[in-house]
Amino acid sequence: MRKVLIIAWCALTRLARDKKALIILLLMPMVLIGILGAAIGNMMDGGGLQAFPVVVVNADQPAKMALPPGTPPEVADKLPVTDLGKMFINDILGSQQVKEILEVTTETDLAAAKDLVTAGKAVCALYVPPTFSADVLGGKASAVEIYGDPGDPTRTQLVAQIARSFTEEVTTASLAAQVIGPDQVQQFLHETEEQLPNVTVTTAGTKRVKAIQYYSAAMAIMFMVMTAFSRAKDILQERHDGTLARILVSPTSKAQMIMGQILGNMAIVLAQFGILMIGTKLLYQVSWGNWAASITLGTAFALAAAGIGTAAAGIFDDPRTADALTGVIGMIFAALSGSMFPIYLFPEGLKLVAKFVPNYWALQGFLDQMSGLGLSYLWLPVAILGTIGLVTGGVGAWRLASK
Amino acid sequence: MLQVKNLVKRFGDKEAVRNVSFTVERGESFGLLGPNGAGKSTTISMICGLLVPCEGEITVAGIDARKNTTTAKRVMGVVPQDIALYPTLSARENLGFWGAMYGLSGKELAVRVDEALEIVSLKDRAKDRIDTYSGGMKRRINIAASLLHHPELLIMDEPTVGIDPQSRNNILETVRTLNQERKLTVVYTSHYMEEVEYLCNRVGIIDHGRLIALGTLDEVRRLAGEDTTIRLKAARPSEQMAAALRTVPGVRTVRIEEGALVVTVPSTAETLAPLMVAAGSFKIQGVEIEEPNLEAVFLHLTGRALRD
Repeated sequence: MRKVLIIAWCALTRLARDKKALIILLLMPMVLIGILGAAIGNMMDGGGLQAFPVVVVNADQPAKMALPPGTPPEVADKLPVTDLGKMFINDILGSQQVKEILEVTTETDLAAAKDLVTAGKAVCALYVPPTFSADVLGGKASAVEIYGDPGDPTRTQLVAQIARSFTEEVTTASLAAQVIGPDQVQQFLHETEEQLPNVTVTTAGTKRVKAIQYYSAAMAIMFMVMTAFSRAKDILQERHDGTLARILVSPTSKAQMIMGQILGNMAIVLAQFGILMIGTKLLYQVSWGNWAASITLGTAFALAAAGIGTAAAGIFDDPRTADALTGVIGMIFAALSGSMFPIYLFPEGLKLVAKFVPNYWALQGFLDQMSGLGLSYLWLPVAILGTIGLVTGGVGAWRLASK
Repeated sequence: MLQVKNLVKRFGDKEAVRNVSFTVERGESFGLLGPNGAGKSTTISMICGLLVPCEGEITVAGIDARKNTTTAKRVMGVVPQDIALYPTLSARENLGFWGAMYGLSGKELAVRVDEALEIVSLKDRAKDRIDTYSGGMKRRINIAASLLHHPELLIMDEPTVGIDPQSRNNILETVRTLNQERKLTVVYTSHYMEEVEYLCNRVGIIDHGRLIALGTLDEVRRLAGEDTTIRLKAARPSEQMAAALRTVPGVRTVRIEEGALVVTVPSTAETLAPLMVAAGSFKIQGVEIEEPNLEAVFLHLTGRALRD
């Protein structure tokens, strides 16, 4: 066992002396966590997009619903005058849900509103035409017109979607119920809220996971795998340089040598995790949830990463080929598991594929702990990661021994 | 100290080592000479337990190295052809690591590291990283790493490849001291016949995986014939000149080569003076004397130069 520990310690010491590797494996993730946490923070932490300016010109004239011919005049007299333009501005654009994403100002002149868009002071201008209420209540097609900034089609489309939904809703409601009242507005708001691209981290826990927390875990996982893969290259380089052979001409068994390498990989990845965990805590005040749970999960993932790294060392022969291909594999793992973009944005098919990647289980495990879920949620990712580590490490050890 | 008997190693269809047998006595310095790809390193790899022979026996210090590989490895020190060191570690750290691989630890390890550094004269650079060393210094640490556990048999696989003449001389001196003063048995492989001639008492010549010559240096040299070759350089060597030289007592053969008359004689001391007198009337531009050497033996046995 002493020789196994010495071989592992040697690997750790050599990495600690490699300044270039340390920059890539420690400094780069810390920088990326900071950048991504800040960049995506508004979207993830605010519960939606950052509010953007929209100008509205309401030219709509209140109207009564058009009634079929032959309707008694006393019925027609009882119909209320409906101002759908005002309703759109006050009840829809002025609702709390929409106000979180739109900063609405009003203008009386369409040309002035367009000027604001041209000047970049508003993302788009909405124009409610004079016959909007009459047309809608009369069952005719009508629409809120939108003049958007061509350089910002995404947010313009978002506003268009709100206007379109409202128009369709009130048209349907007026046809069905002959009138639109507060109930329809509430119904519309509820449906609109569901349609908004409200990007939030959804976990079953009690605490909201912030962007900086998400990317701390995501980047730590991505770079831990990168480290494990770079160790695969190092093992192959050692083979190429003759140090592995030199170990084997000493009274050291192949099993000791391979165990030492695997343990070295794991120690390096675990040390990296520890440094990133403490670093993000100190630098970005990141809460990793229950520390014992996170360390357990980190250890399980370090085992999985070390196993995968060893398997790569067993599969590849040339260090340069291993370096190039494992780099690509590492990026694919990271992308699939949600290290780059939150996984809830993925289509269902990709979400399924992600479950075959160890990074996924580690990230979900960390998010669960960050969101306040208890230790009972820990066993599944730990068990899966441990199994991945043992299986891939075993395959790698067998391949290395047979070389 | 080392007995190798009928050693065979095949890689697929290719037979890399074919029935190689030799013995090395305790305290001896044995040279295994051959061109690149001849099978030297494969033979060495089998002796030190890195490769498993297909057939044959290996006994190291009375230990069956095939059955008791780990025990046999404790007796051997191996200097690999590659500089098998960790470049980002210091010389002391490297030696500490390699000593630990031989089971050394604590104070004993520290003492052995100092001793090994002393042998290769690099104690003053002990704390420096290996990647700051010159090629020759790396080679010396490569040797030091194989001495830490006080091996009885030192196996050196082309330890001077790719270094400058001064470093090479330093290494050869070190090996000679280890053999002659510390009585370390040495197996030294090289494709430089000068190194083997300088260091070794006995030599084996290997080519295409087969041992084609084995014996003391003198025994092997005689395989190419005992005669010395004297090359008389002339602008236009002729048959008339050759005939004149053949009349000199002691001259065995005379042949004409481009720009030279090549004369073989059993004794340079007795024949050189009358030969020069006989050649006095010719316009001789220079004289080269070639004593029989391993290069000539290899040429004689294989028809190829050693470094072809």
